Amino acid sequence: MQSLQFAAPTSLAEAAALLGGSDNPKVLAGGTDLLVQMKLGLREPALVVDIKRIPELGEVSLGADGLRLGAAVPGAEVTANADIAALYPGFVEALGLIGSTQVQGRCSPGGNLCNSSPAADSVPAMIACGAQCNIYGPNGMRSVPVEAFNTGPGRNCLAADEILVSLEFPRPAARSADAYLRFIPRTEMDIAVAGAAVALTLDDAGVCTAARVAIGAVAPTALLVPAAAEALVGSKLDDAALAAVAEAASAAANPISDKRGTAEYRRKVVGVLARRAALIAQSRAQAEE
Amino acid sequence: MQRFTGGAREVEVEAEDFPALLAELCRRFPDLGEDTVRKQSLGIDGMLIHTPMLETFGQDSQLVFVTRIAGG
Amino acid sequence: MTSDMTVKTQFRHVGSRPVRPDGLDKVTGRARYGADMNLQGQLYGHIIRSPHAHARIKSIDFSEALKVPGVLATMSGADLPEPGEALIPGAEIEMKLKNVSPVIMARDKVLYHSHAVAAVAATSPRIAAEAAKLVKVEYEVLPAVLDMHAALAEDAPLLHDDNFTVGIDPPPEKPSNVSVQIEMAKGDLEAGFAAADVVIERTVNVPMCHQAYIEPHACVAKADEKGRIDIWCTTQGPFVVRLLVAEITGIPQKDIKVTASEIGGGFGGKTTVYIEPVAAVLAKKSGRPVKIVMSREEVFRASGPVSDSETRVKIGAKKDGTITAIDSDMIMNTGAYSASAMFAGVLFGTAPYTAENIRSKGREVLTNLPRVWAYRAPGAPQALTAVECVVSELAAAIGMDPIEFRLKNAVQEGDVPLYGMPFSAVGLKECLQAAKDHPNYQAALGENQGRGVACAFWINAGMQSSASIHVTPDGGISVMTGSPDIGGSRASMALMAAEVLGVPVETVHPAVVDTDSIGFCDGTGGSRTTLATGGAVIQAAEKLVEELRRRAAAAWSVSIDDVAWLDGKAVERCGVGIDELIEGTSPVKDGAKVLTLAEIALTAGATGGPLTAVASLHAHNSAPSFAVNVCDVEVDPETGKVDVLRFTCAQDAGKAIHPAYVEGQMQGGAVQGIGWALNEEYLFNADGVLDNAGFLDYRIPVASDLPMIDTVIVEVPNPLHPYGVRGVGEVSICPPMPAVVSAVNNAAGTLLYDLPMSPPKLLAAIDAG
Repeated sequence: MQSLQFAAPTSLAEAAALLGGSDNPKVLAGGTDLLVQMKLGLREPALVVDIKRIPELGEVSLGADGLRLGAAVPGAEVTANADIAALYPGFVEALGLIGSTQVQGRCSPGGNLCNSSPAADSVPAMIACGAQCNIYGPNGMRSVPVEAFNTGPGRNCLAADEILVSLEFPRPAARSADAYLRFIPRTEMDIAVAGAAVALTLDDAGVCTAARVAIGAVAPTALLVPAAAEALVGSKLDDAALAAVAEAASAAANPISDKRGTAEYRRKVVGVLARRAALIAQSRAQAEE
Repeated sequence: MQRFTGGAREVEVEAEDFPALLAELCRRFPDLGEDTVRKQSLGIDGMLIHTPMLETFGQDSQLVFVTRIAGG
Repeated sequence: MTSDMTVKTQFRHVGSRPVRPDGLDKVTGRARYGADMNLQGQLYGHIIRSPHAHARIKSIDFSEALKVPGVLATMSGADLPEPGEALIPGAEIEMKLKNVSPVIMARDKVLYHSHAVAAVAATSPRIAAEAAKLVKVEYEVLPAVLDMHAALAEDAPLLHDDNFTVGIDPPPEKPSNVSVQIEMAKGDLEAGFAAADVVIERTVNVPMCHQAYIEPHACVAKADEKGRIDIWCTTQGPFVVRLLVAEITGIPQKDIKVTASEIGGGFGGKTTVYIEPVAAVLAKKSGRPVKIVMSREEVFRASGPVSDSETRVKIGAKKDGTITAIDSDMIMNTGAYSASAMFAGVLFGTAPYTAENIRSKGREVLTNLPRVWAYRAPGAPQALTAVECVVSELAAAIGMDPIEFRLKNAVQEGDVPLYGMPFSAVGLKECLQAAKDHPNYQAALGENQGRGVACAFWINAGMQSSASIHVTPDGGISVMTGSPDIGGSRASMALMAAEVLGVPVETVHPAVVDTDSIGFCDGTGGSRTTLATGGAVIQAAEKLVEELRRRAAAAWSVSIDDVAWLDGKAVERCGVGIDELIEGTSPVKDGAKVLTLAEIALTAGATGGPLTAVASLHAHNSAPSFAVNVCDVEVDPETGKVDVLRFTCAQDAGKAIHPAYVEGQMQGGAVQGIGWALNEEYLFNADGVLDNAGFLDYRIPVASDLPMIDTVIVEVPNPLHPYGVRGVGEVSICPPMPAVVSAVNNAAGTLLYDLPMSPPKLLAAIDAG
């Protein structure tokens, strides 16, 4: 029978060395994906590296520059933080959709990203917020935008001996807000069939001056949709602009048909979600007045 | 059962009890066979007997064979 | 054979709502379910399952598996006796053993993906799982038929080359994948349709689903040196397990004892066995206890899911609302072996209506999918969904309120349904009226909202039951039955015993005991337990009362006729009539002697020994139930998502012994029906592998999906039962599907009859206009 090694390093260098020295390692943060996958026999790692004892991975800092979130910080710690929720309401509501209360006590936004599921709820929200990934490797730190992190279902840009250390969110300008919506057939317990996140900034007159739109579960990875953002910028989110957002989101989608929905359905619904999320973001930004 | 009765849905039978009923039905419809009859529940004047064997009948008893159904 | 029985109408305990006796253990986690049983030295069984939907087994080689340290026994179909032509109780009707035994272990062929092929027992679950991977099974893969239409094709691959359709005259000469077909008819169909002003015909598809009981199958079996087998398992019927294990393994019933654990849901799915015969054989071969627990995935893939069906229904009605003719033609999927409830669908789908001209046809179709099994009113939801959706459309077409339309056609006492037995007093009209009178029926509907109405029938079973009552020396009452409690039946047993004995319900301790400790009980199913096992409890309690009176009479040296039983006490009559005393029209005479139950119990040793009473019966007094549901939904026209806004159930319980658990049955059935209508379905890939074998993608409703399910208990007493009881467990799942479907179609302006109405399907229907 196969044996399983477990390690809980306390520094990035130690963790990277462990990962580099095994031919089949897996990183464990909250474990809410990994342990399930191991139980189902989908993954049989030879080495599990628990990264929760590495100080940088557990740090949360919110300042003038924005938010830095250690990659192993559990979702519940973020959703319970009113200051974070005030600045990034869409990202926080996405985290609130992941799993049950119990699961949220373990699962981390960093893990949600590294699991590289196209349907991860928090990833479109991170993309809309313009978040960056800080990655540690043998050659030091590097940084990539969240939209460039995942490369396919279950695949990402991390080398075998690299570790996601933190996520860095820029501080939103005044009259900015974000929103995330997903579609699931029930009210709980489901994986997103489609998801859309919108972050936008309004000027004094209520005209959108900047926007980022991201979609999930409709392509091999979550996508940033610049065309949808362009449809918003310069508008007051009138019907024509909203129709254009929906159309751009649907056009950018490249979904598959599976047990959770048909490609045709996902393409249509992601547009509906993008439009509705834009309206929510708008009303939140207006409420900041 | 109708397959074995030449399509007859209702018959008048003189029988005091289930064994007599069984014998009479099998005499009248030779293809029917005791097993086919025994596999049915029997409704007797509104009572549903799951496994009839010793039941007795009144003068004008109305008897109905019903496919034996248990339920979940 | 007539009944001169009177139905009791005044009750002291029956109809009250005490906390269930099993509740505290359940909410504190103390209750012991199937997987909670462990025995010293037990092994763990692991079942090896087919990777193919249809294949011939060429060989099974255990040699590598047996080399793994800790592996102590193996088995395959070769360890089970050949079944022959014996008949055994099935899901609905009697089944051939040769259609049951190979589900436990395949013989020459596997007939569905995950069909059990072999098993190993080892000292740990991990070792057993690893060893299972080393069992080499050689297959010759055969072409598979994965849906009913493929199975019905002229040149379809055959599952069983000895299957000649039963029910065709003359019998067919060629085998096929149709196991049985039937046709029931009355009146003149053509004349009926000719008399109609409006005729509507639809084809309604109901998907294959699962009972989705939360607790997976689990058991432990132990064999002693003399070959006697003890089995602990989660089941709806320990006596059913005893019988099936005996028939399947060849171990005589007299050598088997079965103890039912607490049960975490069954809904019909636990009225048979999957792992118990395997554990028994492995225990016998290894000499060690063997525990088997099915994983959730195994439960989905390899227990008995629920038939999908396709039903074409054509109904005609006059402008005044009279239904003139109903024509129904159903095909029902049974999976790999004949076991479906197609008969019930054909017989009962039209039961709510007085229509004189009816034809109902059905065919049961074999496919390379898991062998189906019973689910709450088996077969009826599929048939009634088709009929009720068309009835609702007809009401709309002639401009009549859907409840008024049904009231005009509803059966009542004396009407004769297609299955032939005239109805005694039944409560369909009362249920319809209750639904109509409910405030929910007056609630205004907004944009994208719709309302659906449906009614339904289930026959309810009686069958065999036993009960035993013991009195403790301090006056406590132990009530024992062999009927596992899946819906609050222990609370009902306690109430009925308390009613007869005139004691506080808290002094009654109800228990479900093993097959050695009580007389035979059929399984908990068919909505029979409160009626039949409860009937045995009433009879045993009545015998006990007589015994208590005899003891008091002995103590007082009077005749038993001079002793009345009143409020839990023996009372000297002193010439007052028993009826007058019981009804309270005459007071107990001053100075009359009194002995409480506890006082009699304390001296029982001196007056004749321990106080016990037993009763066994075959209940012939079951009576059918009707139910009516009204459902309001809102549809999101841009996503196809359905929100259930209001849901109202009216159901005839005859007499609700414990109203809270009757309501629980109504609500539970409603929720299961809502799930089946909206999201639940088995999704197989092109190889016949189930694609959603877990609760993530097999989508039963979660609590936040649902509004409060409002209930109205209607009580039209069953004239054949001493308390007027009817079964309540099953009919509740029949009306919700058509109520939801009609509500959604009304809200969305669609005619979608391909269930489930999942968002992608509904949105496509909306977009198609």
